[in-house]
Amino acid sequence: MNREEYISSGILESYLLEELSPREALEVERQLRFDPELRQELEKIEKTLYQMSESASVKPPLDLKDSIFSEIEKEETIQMSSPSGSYFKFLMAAGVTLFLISSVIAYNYWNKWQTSNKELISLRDQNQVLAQDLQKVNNEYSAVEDDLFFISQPNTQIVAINGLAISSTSSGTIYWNPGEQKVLLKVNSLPEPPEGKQYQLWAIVDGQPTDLGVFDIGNEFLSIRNVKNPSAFAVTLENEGGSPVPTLDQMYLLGEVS
Amino acid sequence: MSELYDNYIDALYGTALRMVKDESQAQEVVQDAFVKIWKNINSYRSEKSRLFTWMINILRNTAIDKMRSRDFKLSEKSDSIEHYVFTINKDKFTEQSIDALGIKDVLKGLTSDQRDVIDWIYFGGYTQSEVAKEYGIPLGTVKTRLRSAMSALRKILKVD
Repeated sequence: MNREEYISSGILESYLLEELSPREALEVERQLRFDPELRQELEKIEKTLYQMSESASVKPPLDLKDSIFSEIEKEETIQMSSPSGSYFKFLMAAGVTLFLISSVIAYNYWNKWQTSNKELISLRDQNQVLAQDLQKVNNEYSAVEDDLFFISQPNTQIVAINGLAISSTSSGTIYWNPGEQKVLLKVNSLPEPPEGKQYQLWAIVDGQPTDLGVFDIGNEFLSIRNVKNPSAFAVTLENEGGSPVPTLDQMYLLGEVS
Repeated sequence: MSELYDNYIDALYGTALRMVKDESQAQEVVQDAFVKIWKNINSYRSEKSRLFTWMINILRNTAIDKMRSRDFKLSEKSDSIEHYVFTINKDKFTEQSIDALGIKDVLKGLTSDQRDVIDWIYFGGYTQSEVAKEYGIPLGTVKTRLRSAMSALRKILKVD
């Protein structure tokens, strides 16, 4: 095919209108490189198309330029922030979203863990307190059980000790068993001792007062060391720590063993 | 980029308008095309074609996408293409230059066969094969008509 035939086949127009396959287009480009006259012909067709477009010219609205360039600026910032385009942007956005979501979840769980941990510690502490309380209660219970067992023995004597003139409404009870090594005192009613004073229990043995120790009001049963053959029990108000001999005018309670 | 715009916008916008036949769509086409031109300016090869040829092809492809996206089926368009093309009233638009020939005057110098192929292919966005198929004209005839239209245009536009 000579140049004239090649030109009149319309292949250059097809090339310029981008209707050729890539292989055909490459062949045209190869021909153009080796044939300056063919190139000249191509340029004339281009010029014709250009001038035809020129003749179709219409002035667009004045604001179109601003609109286009602000669009380009927008694209520019997007391109600068993500050179690999919208898929990259999508991945970035997805990544950021995932990160945010997982951060929130992680923080949430961390918070819950912290709270649970605090709760666990406080529960453990509470548990320890309860265990101590239980131990205390158990001890008290076994003590009460012992006292009850002591009191319920057939040979345990109950000695009522009653208020004297100094405090006529006061009263107490002594549980005494000659075969056992202890005496129980139950204070039913006694006024609060003044500051620096304590009540002291006495047993009268062979006409002589025997010191059974000082006590504080409050406990249900006071376990006191045993005495042999008491004829009576008495409670006096003494200086704190007790006295070797009872202060007789401060005797609050007195009861004889029947 | 601003210089490119100033130099070519009227021709590009006029071509887009003639293709999509709607002012706001033509503006969209020009805008999209300019963004593509800006993005791909590095891939333009001056040894292959003139800058304008490269730009007008981007514009034409953008316009073709737009026409196809609004469901401009070939068959629907074929009935009315002549009406569209020739009902564009030149007086509605500001012509770039009073001295320069308007497109209507340019196309007036062609035979109706030549004018049809220019309108279908260059402004209608059809390939030569599509025109052949649509109008039942042999592909060879379409090519010959396009070629003769180009030769006539060359004379009218005084390119030689």
